[in-house]
Amino acid sequence: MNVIILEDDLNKLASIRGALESFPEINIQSNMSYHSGLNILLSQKFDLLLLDMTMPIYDIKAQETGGRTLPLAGRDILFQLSRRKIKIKVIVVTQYEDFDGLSLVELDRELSSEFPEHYVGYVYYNITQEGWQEKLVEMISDEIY
Amino acid sequence: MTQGAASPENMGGTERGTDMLTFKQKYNASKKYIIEQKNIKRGIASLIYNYDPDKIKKITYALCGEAFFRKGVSGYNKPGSFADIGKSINMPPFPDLRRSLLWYTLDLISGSGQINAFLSLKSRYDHEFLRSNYEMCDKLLEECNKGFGWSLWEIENRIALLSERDGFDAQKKYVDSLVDEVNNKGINVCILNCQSMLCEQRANISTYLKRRHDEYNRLFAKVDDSRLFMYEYVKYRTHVYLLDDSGKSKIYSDPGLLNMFLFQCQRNALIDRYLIFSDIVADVFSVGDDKLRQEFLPYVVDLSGHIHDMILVNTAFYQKNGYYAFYPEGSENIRRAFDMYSAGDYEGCMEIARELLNQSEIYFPLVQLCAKCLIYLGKEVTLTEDQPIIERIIQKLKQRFSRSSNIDEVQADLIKILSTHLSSNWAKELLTILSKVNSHFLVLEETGAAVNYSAVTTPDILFDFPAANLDGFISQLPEPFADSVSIRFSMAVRKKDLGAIKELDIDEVRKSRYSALILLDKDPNAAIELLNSIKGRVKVGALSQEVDALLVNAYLRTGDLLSAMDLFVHAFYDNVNFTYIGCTDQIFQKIKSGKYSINSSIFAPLVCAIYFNHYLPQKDRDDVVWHICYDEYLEYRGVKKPTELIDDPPGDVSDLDLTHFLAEVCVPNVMDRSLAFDSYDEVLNERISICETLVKRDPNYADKYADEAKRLNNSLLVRLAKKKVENSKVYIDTEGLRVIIYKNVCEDYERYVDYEMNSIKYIMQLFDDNDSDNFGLENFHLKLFSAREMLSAIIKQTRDIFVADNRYGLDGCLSVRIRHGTLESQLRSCFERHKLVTAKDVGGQYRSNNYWYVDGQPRSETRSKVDQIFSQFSAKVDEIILHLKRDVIQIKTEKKNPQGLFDFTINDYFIDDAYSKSREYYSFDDLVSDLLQTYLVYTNNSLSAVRSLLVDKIDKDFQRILNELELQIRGINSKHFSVAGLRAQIASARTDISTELNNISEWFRLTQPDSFSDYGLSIAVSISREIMNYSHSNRTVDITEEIDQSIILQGRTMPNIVEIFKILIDNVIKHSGVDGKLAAAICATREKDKIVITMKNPVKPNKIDHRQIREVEDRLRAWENQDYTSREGGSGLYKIKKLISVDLGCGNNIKIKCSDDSFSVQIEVETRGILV
Repeated sequence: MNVIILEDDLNKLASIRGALESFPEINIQSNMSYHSGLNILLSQKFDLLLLDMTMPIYDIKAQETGGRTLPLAGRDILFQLSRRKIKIKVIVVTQYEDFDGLSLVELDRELSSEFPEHYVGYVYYNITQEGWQEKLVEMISDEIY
Repeated sequence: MTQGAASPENMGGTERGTDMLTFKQKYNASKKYIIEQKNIKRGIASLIYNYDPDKIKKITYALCGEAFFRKGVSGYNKPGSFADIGKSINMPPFPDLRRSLLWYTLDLISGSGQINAFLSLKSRYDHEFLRSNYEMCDKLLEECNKGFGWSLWEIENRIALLSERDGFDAQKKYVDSLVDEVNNKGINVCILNCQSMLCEQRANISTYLKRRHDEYNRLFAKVDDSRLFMYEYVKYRTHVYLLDDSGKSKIYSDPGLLNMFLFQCQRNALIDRYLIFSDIVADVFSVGDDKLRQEFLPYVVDLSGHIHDMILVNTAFYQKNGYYAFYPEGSENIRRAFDMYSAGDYEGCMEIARELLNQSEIYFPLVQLCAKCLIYLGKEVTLTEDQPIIERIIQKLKQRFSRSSNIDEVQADLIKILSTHLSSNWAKELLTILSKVNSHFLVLEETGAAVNYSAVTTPDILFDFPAANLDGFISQLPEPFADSVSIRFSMAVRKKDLGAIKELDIDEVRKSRYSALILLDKDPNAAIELLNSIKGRVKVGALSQEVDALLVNAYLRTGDLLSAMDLFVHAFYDNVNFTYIGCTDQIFQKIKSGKYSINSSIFAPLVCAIYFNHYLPQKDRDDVVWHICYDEYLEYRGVKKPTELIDDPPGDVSDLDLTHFLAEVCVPNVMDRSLAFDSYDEVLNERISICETLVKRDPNYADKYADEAKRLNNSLLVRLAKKKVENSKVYIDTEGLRVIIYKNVCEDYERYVDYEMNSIKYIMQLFDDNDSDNFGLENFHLKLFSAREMLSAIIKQTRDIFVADNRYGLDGCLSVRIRHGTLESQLRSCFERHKLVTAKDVGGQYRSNNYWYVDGQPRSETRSKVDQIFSQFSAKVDEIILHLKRDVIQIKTEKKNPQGLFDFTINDYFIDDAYSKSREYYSFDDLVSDLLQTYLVYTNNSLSAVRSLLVDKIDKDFQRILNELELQIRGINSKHFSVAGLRAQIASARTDISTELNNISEWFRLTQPDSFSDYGLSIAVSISREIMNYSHSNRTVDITEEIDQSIILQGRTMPNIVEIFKILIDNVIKHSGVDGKLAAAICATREKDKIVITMKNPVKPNKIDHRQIREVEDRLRAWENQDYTSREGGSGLYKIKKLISVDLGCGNNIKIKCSDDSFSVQIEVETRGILV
């Protein structure tokens, strides 16, 4: 199984990778921005996308500041996947509970209704709370098995 | 109030004192007070506030008869600026609505002379605007300003006039000129209002205003208290127009709210105050409840006797339906009627009026015009002056009206009154005209266009009228209204009787329009046919737009999205207000659905651009649709970038459409999502190319595109240079070091060499002699050890110069460019912007973090606990940063800074190695080169260690304290404290601090500053400002620049020049002591062989320590003592001195000037070697 993680926070990325160690059979790739994420999603085939909701447009590098930050970059990615009819399952992994006035529960409802072909659900990531890893593992297991 | 003045408050000996005094005594006391205080407003306020309103009403009404009162003791001086408005109003709000109304009434009555003069001017203005006589409009606005000072009315009308006549740029220029007077939010509100005014001229105002609901709310959400008097005006308008779903505005169902609102409105200028009040009156009588109307009625009646424009409104119908309507096509006909009226052709004017009225073309100004015509026509019979007659009519009717609100009785009276003053025929005709309007209004007015109050009998209104009531409604209508063509037409439309509509003798355009409206639901294709048949015949802009809107609607119903988009876009080109009537949202939703094949249409992205730029005031989270349409269109065209379309334009797209596509669609925020660009810089470059093309393609807006290209170029330059400057912090000038080393160490080295060479000769001699007894091994060892020691001292001295020399040493570089300010503020800002840390107060304690509390929360145990948590967190953040600065980013030697990561310790192995290699050196230069090379390797290793530490340990440290904070706040349970919001900010801070540490780690690389291009000094200022405002996001400095554009500097100087401005800006942030917004002015001029840079900023009064300033000046003069350079803290001026003297190598002079409330630094820099 090929999994792609789109995540701009290195610490969070490491935590997610850590949580996925219980799936030795999956291949993991990661990207850190809307642009690089979309690029790889259009050029390679993946089975599962672990998607952060808020990301910069471009990867932040020595000579690149990353452009503006898209508060709902994840939703935009889902929009692109849906519009381009790319088959992939998507789990949103976010550390926010509110997105420009939209609560996580409302966002979940919206994504379920707008992108039923892609959107599986969300995991609320919080490094100080237990439970997110288990939920993520469970959701991935559901997708694998 | 002055001591001892006779005031209504201190009259009498009892608690309230009123019962002790006769009416006459009270009257005299009030009069005396007002005259002595020379302030009618205050006098009235005191009277009303402290006495029984009913009694005071009698007194003040009596006072109204006094000449001194009518003229105004102090008068209303016209305000010179907005700051002058509302100053004298400092009384508390009245406790009930009645007192507010009384205050308003009396206030307006005492200003009625000016108000009437203004109304006359306003009437002329409206008239001229309607005739498009813009030159006269200009003059009238000027006259208004001269006569009455500042008013929102003038500003809004001027914006509207400029927008209508001269276009957006002129409007923008005017708005920009007002920014100092009315801040941005105020300006935005004025623009909104002026747009709504223009909309009134053209389209359906209620539709427009509903669309603007969110934008108004957004603006009001951030109202600045100090400007409340202005915003309240607009706030009121929002309440009025933007009715909630039930058709009622909250303000008209809550007397308390209305009372408070009236109080706030008192702070406006007189004419704005009047306009507010008259608007409120109109609305109370249209949407207010009965109780509220009864409250208002007596005051309105009183006012109508003094102010010409006051309108009495009372009709059951209008009250019930409670909405405004506007008749767009009226304006063209009115214009014709006005032309005739102005030419004195009253009969001609009436001819048009009759014709229009018969076709339901009832338009309120037209009715007024008719009334005036009739009065003038009747003049020779009974009138000598029309104005006194009107006043008498008003007076009489006022009396009548105050006794009864029964409209029929009032009408009967009106007939009598008119009959006595006009010939019976004219009176009858006037009454006929008025009766048509009377079903909605009873209007008694001489001047003013009063467009806002117009309500007319149109089929549109009747659409909303319950069908069951139709017959009853008709039976209630007065003759000859019931049998008019217009009402039959309206009824036919209401009943959707296409046959009846067809048979009526009425204009074809009108018939087709309403027939199409009826057909839209059931047979949209037939509606399209009808509408297309009249489309070419409609000349009037507003009507033409309405037909287009209906057509768009019909296309959408037939599923023809392509035609709908095409028509929509072209109608928008004709008039931007089309977005408010043209089914914008429906079109966009269909595009968003992805169900239509529209890739080939350039109109899909164009509709999106219109939707997001003109229809939706706020950024919408669906803006990705805009990008997708853009992307899909380019893909369809087989190109990746818009500029490729310019090179090879599509044959089926008009020049106009392509131009709009390039201008409105291909903007950075749309293109930056495209995979065709790998960086934001590429996006900006593409936009610059597009703008350069647009300058030629769209010459009308050439200046706008050229400005945008220039701005983007500048921004690109600043972005690139900023990044480069940020990453050019650590620079080692090896040549400079070589000179210093040579000067200080060469002599020692020669001694060492001499000693070393002699000792070797001695050893050789010993061996040659082969005399083992005299081998002198002990001495040899001694001598050997001494030479090594000498070399060791040389190496360490060289090392010390490398790291600590005041001019070229590494530590100076770390101190000036890293430890001084930026590092700390940049790291701290990651937490400041998320409201997680606070600064320390003068006592060294962290300030309370109030952000997370609901206002007014009492002190409690929970709050103290939370305060403690935040204080601890702030302390932890500062501790990590301090550790980084004080311990880590330090030079470590054998004796200093054991935790420093710049490890320059020299151990025995190093010395041994150097000593063993020393024989290979042929000269001192060889040794120095080798040592410098070694120290550069040390530097690189140290920089690498710092980079690793930042992204690893320091990041972990910050993450750890964020974890601790999150755990600490989790247990807090208080309704006054937003735990969820705080958690979101903690999450953001996590990402931000990691990203920032990654960014900062890039500072720690050795660089060569000669990689910069030559640049203008203003670029350096922009870069510094960007960096400082980013790193102090909570304390940004508003900088005004006046920089000689001919100052072009050599590229290599950029990091140092930027550093100088950063230090200057940092001083403003840290040392000015100003509580509010920070500001500074930078001026740079070229004088012979010098550049003179001056930075001036306000400081908190008495903040400057003059003794300390003198000390700094003395040290700057005695610059040879350079020990201050590496000292942390202070003003940074020593560091500037070092940057100019050493890093730039220029002669210079730094002067400080300060007064009690300002501080300025003047830096003179010799230009030799730095200018291009």
